[in-house]
Amino acid sequence: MTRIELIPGTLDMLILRVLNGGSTHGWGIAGRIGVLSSEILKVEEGSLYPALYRMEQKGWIESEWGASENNRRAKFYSLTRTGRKQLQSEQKNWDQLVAAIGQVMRAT
Amino acid sequence: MKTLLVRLKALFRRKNLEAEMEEEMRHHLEERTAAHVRAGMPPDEARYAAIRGFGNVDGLKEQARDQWAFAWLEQVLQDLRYALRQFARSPGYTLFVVVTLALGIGSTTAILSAINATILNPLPGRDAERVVMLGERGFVQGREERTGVSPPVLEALQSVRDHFEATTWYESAQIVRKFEDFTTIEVGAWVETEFFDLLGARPLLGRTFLSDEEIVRSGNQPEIDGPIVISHEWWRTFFSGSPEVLGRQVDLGGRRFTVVGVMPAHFRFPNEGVNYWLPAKPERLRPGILRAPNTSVLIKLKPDGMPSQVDVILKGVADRLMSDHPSEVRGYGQWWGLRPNGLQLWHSPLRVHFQDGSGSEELQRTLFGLLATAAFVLLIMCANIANLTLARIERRQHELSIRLALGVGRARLMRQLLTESAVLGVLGGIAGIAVAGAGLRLLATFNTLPRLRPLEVDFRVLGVALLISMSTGPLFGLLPACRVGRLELHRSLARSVSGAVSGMRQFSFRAGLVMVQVSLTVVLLTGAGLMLRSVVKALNVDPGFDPSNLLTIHLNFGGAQRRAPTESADRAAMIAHRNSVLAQLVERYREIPGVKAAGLFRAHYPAENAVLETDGETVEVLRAYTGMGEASYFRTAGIPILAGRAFGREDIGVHSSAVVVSELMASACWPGESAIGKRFRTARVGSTKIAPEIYEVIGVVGDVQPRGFNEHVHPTFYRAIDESTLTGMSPAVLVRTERDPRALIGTLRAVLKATDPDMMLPHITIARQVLFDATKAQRTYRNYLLVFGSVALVLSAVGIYGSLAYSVARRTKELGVRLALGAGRRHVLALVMRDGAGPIGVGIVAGCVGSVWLTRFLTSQLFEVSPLDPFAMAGAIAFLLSVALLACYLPARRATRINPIAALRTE
Repeated sequence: MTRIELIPGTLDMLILRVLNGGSTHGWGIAGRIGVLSSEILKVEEGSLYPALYRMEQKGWIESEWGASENNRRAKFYSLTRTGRKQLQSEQKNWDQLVAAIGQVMRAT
Repeated sequence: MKTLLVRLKALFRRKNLEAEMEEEMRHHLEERTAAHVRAGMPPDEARYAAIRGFGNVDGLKEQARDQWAFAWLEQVLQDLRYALRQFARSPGYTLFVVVTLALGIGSTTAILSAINATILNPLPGRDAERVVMLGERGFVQGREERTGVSPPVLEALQSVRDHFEATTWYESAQIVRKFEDFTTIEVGAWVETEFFDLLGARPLLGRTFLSDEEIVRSGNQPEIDGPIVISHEWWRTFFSGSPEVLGRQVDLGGRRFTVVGVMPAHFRFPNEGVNYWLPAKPERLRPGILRAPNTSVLIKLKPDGMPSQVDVILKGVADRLMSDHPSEVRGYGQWWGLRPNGLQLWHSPLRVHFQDGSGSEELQRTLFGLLATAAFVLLIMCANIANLTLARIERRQHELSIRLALGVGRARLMRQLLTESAVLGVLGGIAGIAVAGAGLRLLATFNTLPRLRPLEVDFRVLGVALLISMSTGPLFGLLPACRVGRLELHRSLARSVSGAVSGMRQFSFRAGLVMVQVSLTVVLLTGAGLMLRSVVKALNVDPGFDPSNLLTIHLNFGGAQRRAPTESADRAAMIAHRNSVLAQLVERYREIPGVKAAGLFRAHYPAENAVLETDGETVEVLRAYTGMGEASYFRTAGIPILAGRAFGREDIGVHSSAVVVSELMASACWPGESAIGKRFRTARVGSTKIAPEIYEVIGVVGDVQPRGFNEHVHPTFYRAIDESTLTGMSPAVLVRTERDPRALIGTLRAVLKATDPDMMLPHITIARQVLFDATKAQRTYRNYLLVFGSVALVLSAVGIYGSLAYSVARRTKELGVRLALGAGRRHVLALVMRDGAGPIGVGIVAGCVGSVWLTRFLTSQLFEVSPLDPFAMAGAIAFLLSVALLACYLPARRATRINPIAALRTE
């Protein structure tokens, strides 16, 4: 199973999707993406945290300090209402994009 | 919005956020390590693997920080700190700029604020527009004039007071005060009790008047004791400014008054010399006794009141009065009937009246002149700053080029320079406020106009001046800064070759600025010089007579004399009686020790038409009577006899046809010829009926302007008789004394009382004082000009000296080279002077051309001074040349004195 590099611009959408399932911390988000994609998608910390900070600035996610599973202090992120709306719109765009590309590729 | 909050939070709680980020990264790292350990790695290796996998932590942090930073604000703070460091390093430059700014901003603000308080918005309070002054349209010496109101009008106005929010009135008071054996007349005001409240004027100490404190008067003199409010000046002079002044006593006119309040220093209403205010009851209407309309009435309109409503109300009052006082009966009705349209009342906002009264259109023009001066001062200030900024940037070329080479980015550099200018602007502004405050205090001592509010800094003006000054630096300083980056990089870096070569282009730009500075200064100084000369001329105008030690005593017949009888025989008797009284009076006055001369004078109104015998032409003239003494009036007043002779014994009396005419009348009636021997008759204006008397001219005298240099002069003819009718103006006696005329006032009054016990208290004026008071606007203006002009002088001198001196100093190295190569010291000096003379010469020429063109606009302001008057311009040129000469010579001398080796080494 080779790992494929993330398509630029899709990281935000993935993060939002993951957080939609419940709030978690940075390590947890990276883990979930890996698990959900069957380890095909790997998120570099170098891209994850800047993305998280950026999205927090834009108001799509909010953060709160809490205790992790091992009782360590960690910053938990959760989706905001704006974030939820953003997720929906990005999902729609993605679906349309995929369908279009698929159509082109399948055309004979 | 959330973004903004996050960023603000990031700005202020930076440390916190950094710590949080650290912690978050650490947590992630630990989890990773733990995951590796779970996968079977030994702990150390796990940690290394985790760190390697994590990537560049610092880079992450940097990226995160970028997300947070309020980048530009931080840079601004950085710029500020850098700017302040720069200023500390070159204190001379900083001082120069701040001083220039302070002077420019401060002086303009002071002058314009003063104008605002005295001319534009003289009344305090927000309701100022609703305060309106009323009066009668009177007729004085043939011209319509706005006077106050007479007692019946005042009484009638009381009946309509409900239409207004408030009504009040005031009159001038002149009450005798004795101290030791010297008697003086103290000027003050009789005011209605609501006077201060209506004007919104509050006392500095104590209180103003209550409504039941009115003092009964008789003939404008107090009959009983009562309360008094004194002026700041009196408080200082008589009570030494002691806070215990309330309750103390003042003796006036034989009565004792208790001080209940002191007004602040700026309150000088109704006129500048008012020393006290007394609460007054309106004078009772006494049958047969006519009082001149001297009462000024002020009303405050209701908030929704309109001037047109006032028109209607006043017309109603006037009409009713006209019908109550029919014009064929002696008394006010007859008096009003003499006016062209009967009794008419005028009204205008107090502010307008204030502006008109304080010198009429004179002050409007003054305003224009001062504004123009202010504009020039600001321009000169801007030119100074521009030059200084440019010079500075030139100096810093080296440093700026290095920074550019290191990749700072031109925009950032510009922002840096902008910040510096802004900081200087703020510093200059703060200093400017201090200068403005001091300037206003200075102006307040000069200001002789009546005022209702204190002179204070008007912050709008300050703001505008600040804005202008803060934008000049960047504007002029940044233009060449753009060029610095683009071209001179390599040259500036190789500083050792620089000196006379690099910076040449900037130098010519700066030379241009020097030219601008010089020409602006020339124009400004010429203009100010012209205006000053004009004011000085106005103050020294020959009034046509000799006003030294001269008193005018305006008589008022009283008692039985007040009522003019109807029978002609009775009238003749009364006239004869009056004549004898007047003759006696003048005779007795002449006998008083200390009196040099006395004469009688009475002007007539309305004007008449003189019908010339030669061709029947008519000229409007005024008639005047000079009493039965031979030429005593002309001699007493010191009026020169220009042709022919004055009255001799045979010319006196009703039956004589001899008249003396004024110079204006002679040139109006018989232009180009001698008036002696010419004849004319008179007719009332508007009537064709010519009076039978034929008058023959025996002499011509000069015109007089006893009320000031801009008093309107009428053609006048004089006859040597006392009295022939019982209407018209009261007679006046002129008395010239050996010494100070005020010392004799008491005696004169006593003699008057002895001669005719029925005569009412006379109104005495001192000729010099009247003339002086008429010029108060001019004097204020002159003082303003002097102050402002001096500031402009200093600014220009500082600016021009600074730029020229700097240019010369910059060439130190070049001069050193020349000297080392063997040039003579004097030769080098001459070189410098010649180079400096270039822009200065051009500037002066441009300035002269400019002033010739611009001073045209000043013509309306100039009094007997041509806009092309050479003295003013010559003065300006002389001043500039001396400054420029010094500016070139001194630093050049210093430069040539240095050892050439040292000069070569300077940067």
